Amino acid sequence: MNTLKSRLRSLAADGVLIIYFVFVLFPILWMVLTSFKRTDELYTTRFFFHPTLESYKVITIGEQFVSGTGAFRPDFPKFFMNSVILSVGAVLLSLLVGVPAAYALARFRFKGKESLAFTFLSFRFAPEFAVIIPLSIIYRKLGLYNTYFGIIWVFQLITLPLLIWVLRGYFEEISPEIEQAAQTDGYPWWQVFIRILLPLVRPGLAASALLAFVFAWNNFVYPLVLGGSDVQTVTVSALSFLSSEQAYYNRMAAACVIASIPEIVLALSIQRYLIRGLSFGAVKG
Amino acid sequence: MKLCGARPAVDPRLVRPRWIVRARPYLIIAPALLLLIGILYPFFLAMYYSFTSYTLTRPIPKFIGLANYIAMVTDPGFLHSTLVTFGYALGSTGIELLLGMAVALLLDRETRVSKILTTTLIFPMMIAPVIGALLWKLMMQPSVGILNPMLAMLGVNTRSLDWAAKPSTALPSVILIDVWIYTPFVALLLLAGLRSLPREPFEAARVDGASRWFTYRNLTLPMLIPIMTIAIVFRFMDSLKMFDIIYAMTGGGPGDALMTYQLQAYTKGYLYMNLSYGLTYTMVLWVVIYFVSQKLVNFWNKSQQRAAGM
Amino acid sequence: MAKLVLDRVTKKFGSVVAVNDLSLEVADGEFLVLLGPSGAGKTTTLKLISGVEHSDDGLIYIGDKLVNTLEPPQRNVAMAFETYALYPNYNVYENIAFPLKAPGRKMSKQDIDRKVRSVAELLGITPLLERHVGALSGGQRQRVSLGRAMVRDPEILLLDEPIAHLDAKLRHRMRTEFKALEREIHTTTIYVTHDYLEALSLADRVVVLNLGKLQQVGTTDDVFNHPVNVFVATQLGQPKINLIKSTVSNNGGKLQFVSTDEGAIRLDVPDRLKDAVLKANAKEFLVGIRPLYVDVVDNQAGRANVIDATVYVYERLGTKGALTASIGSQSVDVITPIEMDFRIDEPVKLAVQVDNLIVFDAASEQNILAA
Repeated sequence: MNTLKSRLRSLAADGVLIIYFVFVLFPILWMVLTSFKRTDELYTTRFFFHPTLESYKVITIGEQFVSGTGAFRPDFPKFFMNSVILSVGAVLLSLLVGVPAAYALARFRFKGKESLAFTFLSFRFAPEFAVIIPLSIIYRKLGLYNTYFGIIWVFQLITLPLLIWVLRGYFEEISPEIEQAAQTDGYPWWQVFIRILLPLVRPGLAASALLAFVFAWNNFVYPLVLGGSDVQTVTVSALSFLSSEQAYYNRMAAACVIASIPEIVLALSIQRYLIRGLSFGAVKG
Repeated sequence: MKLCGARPAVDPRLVRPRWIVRARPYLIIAPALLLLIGILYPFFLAMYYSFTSYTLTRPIPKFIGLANYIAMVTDPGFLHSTLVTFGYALGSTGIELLLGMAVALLLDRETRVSKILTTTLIFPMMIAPVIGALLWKLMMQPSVGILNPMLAMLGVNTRSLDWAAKPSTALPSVILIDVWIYTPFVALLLLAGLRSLPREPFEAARVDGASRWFTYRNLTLPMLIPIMTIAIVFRFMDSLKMFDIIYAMTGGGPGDALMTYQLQAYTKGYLYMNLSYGLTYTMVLWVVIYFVSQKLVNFWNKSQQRAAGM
Repeated sequence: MAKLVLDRVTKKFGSVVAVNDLSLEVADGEFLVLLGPSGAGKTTTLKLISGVEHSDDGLIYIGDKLVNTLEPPQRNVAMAFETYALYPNYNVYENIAFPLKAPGRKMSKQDIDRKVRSVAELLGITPLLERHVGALSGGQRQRVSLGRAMVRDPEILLLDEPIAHLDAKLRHRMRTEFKALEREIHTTTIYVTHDYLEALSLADRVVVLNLGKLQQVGTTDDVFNHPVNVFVATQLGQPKINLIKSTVSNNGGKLQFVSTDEGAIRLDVPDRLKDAVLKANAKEFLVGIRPLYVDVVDNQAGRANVIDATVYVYERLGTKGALTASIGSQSVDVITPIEMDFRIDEPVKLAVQVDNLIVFDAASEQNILAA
């Protein structure tokens, strides 16, 4: 065993990884740097510049300017709140509907169970416009266009499949005899669910709920088409800083930074369960 | 001591649990089913509309059979759209698989660099695809961006090349963005797979004196097939319908260089308000996704059984 | 404490009939053992009694109440599962206290604490009370599971293989503990096991099940000495009862069993069986003799019913020896005193105590006395 050779190999591998590391992080770093640039210094691609919080101030306080989508006052705090309301709302609805569904799919036997499960999964892969176009008509008729509920409803296409599939796996791992023991010990089924089952699936619940939140937060198309100015999200607003007259890249960068902070924080907290969640429970990692 | 003798049939009401107990499973799954119907309804509506003529100027759908589909297929731009859609999907999935596998193999070691990198790998995945596209758009911009100057430093002369504005570089650009965002997903997935492989076959191979390449090709790779299939399912399906990245980057342009099926659906169906025509693109896409995913999931099931038997 | 009645209870899982038309009456305070191999329907029977499974047919009475429509929380039944089924999110103390905190129970914290600690004391797990379930060994978990079932005063106590997964020494100790506990707990108890020693040692009565059907119910003496069929006879006793296929012949006025292969074994039919043998419409019999009723003798002097055999295998098992001898194509198991010794292929003489013969109709496998 030539340890020198293997040590060199290991260093080379680390070297390649570092190159990839740079590839991964550099754009993010550049975005953060750009967000601190003064507008007049945007067109100099220099690393050294005079940092300023001007962009952040503009987008949070809101100065009217003209963009590609018309006169527009970036009301960033409102957009941020909208994103929070929509993402949290979507996840809550999915939890309400998905936790019982996941339990049912894990425990009960009935005809067409797997087809039902696959149908829920198929939502994830549905082309958005197949849903958006009919919904835009239905929503206008029902008055759901540009409402919180309308977007929360569509977001179920993103948040529900994830929750159901991951939780189903967690429920399946719990032996049914534990539930039977609790029932025999004198607890009605709903108390068994709350006191015994939920604590046991809590890690999976937290991880998939947070992941679903991130997906809802990142979603672009649905709020773009089915939402108007009342419910605009941070993700959609990031694009609005580029217009034909003047492209405020620094403001756009600031918006991107603010839009991305919550999810990076959340993702770091569920690191352990990330792979299991992202692959919908297909891989335990 | 048996209780003997025939007895009259027992009143089932005494024997069966109360109806509410029997109804419980159905009540539990009811909310999900209602939601399901609420979501499926637009789908079926979309399917129906695609067989009608439904536009802004004709707000009452009139059934016209396959006319929309024929118009779509005979449109000269359709072939191009198909090529772009599949080109994007195959290109990004392929590169992500290769690159992700390489990264996963490199990460599967105990060095400090790999540990740090594994943590940071989640960042591109967590950022919204739109924002990810904007980052690269920023960097690729000839006047503001840093990409061209950096390439110049490495000796590649691409000064004032607007990556997004030239048809020949537009597709590679968006594929690059897709790769940047999603390779970590593939890498982490494959890493989880590598870490879950049983150790004995590898120890046996080492004792038998197998070379690293041999071990990799005949042990690692076959055992990773189920997980690679999952990665392919997710990435291929998602990239077939990718919208955010392309819209943010060029909105479908330059010209119609990047008009994938979804972009067509958006442009023709939403922007131009030819709703039924736009829907035909989504229907075709949906059918492709449905069948390919079914085939892949079946393959995954079989490959799981086979890998377990190893 | 209550009596339990099962009236023609049946439970199917798909096409598999787990419990088949089972009828049983258990007296108040009785310790009943369900004995049978895996798949006999023992666990399913327990779950039907506790209400966790619903029967497809048949009636179940606890006390004098018909309980078919009652959910488990409403039946006052406690169960210790074979898989323990402990709550992973609670520690040992909380696991045992859990039944006492059920809705509808109003026990003060001190009372709960008292009961939990007294049960823990009884089972020797007091030092484990603060531990989490995951940090326990199999034997410890089994005792916690038992404690959880015993901590309240149920009308019926169901124990599913409670000592099956313990090592031999611990099992033996637990068996004797149970015997002692029996005297203290006067609860109607149903104890499931596949180990006949537990059955013989602990039971007031034994119920033998096979494939969901009741084979025999009776005292330990009933099932051991008067098994109603071959299955019951082979379930109890280790080594298993010897079964010799024979016909009956009249040998000079004496009725004898003659083994069907070469007639190498000839055994006198005892008086008590003569009538039954003659009345039975059987062409062939399975003559059963338990290994402990066969003795190795030096010579034949003055003894009837001696078989000439050769030693096939001899195992010394601590307090006794198990000899397997072959006669022609038959083999016979014999329990011998530990002092004896044998060499393979050595000739040996076996004296059968024909008074203890148990004879079955070879075709129906029924005991000829159980007509």
